[in-house]
Amino acid sequence: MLVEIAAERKPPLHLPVGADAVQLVEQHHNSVLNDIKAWRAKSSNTAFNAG
Amino acid sequence: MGEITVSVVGSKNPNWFDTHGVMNVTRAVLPVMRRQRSGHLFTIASMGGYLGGSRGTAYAASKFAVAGFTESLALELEEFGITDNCRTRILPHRFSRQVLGDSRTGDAHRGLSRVKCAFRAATETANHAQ
Repeated sequence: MLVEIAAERKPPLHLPVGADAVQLVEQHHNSVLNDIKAWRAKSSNTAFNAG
Repeated sequence: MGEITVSVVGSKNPNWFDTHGVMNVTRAVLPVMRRQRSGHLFTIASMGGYLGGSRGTAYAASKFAVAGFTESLALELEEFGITDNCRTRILPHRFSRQVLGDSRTGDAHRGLSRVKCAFRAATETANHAQ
């Protein structure tokens, strides 16, 4: 598998291996996105203002 | 509130052997990649390097280190014309060993031999040239 990937023009930067791994990564990213949606205002208010 | 004890995590911790191994092997092949301005690094970490897990703090920390090392290095390699396609971070969890090829037909051994040959050539060429 690794040899095949190395020959690809556009290889993946992250490669979960195993169905469980794919599901865990998807769950993790959904969790992060949900946190961002729920706390966007608080998070954005901490932006550094150089001016 | 209870007392929190944190043990020292250093190179003597078995969890960090893999981390240092990744760094040392990478260091050995980088001169070749820089010279030819191409190459592909596979860093095999773990899902523990993507998601923390209970009772796995030291393990997860070592695997997250591999992730940070790999991603940062990829950006540094761009200075040498080695683009972002140069690395793949493998995140194994539970997977079929068929991913390594069918050893009964010799595919796995042939694949491993190719990797060994490439690595041997790279390290012999590098030989403290970095």
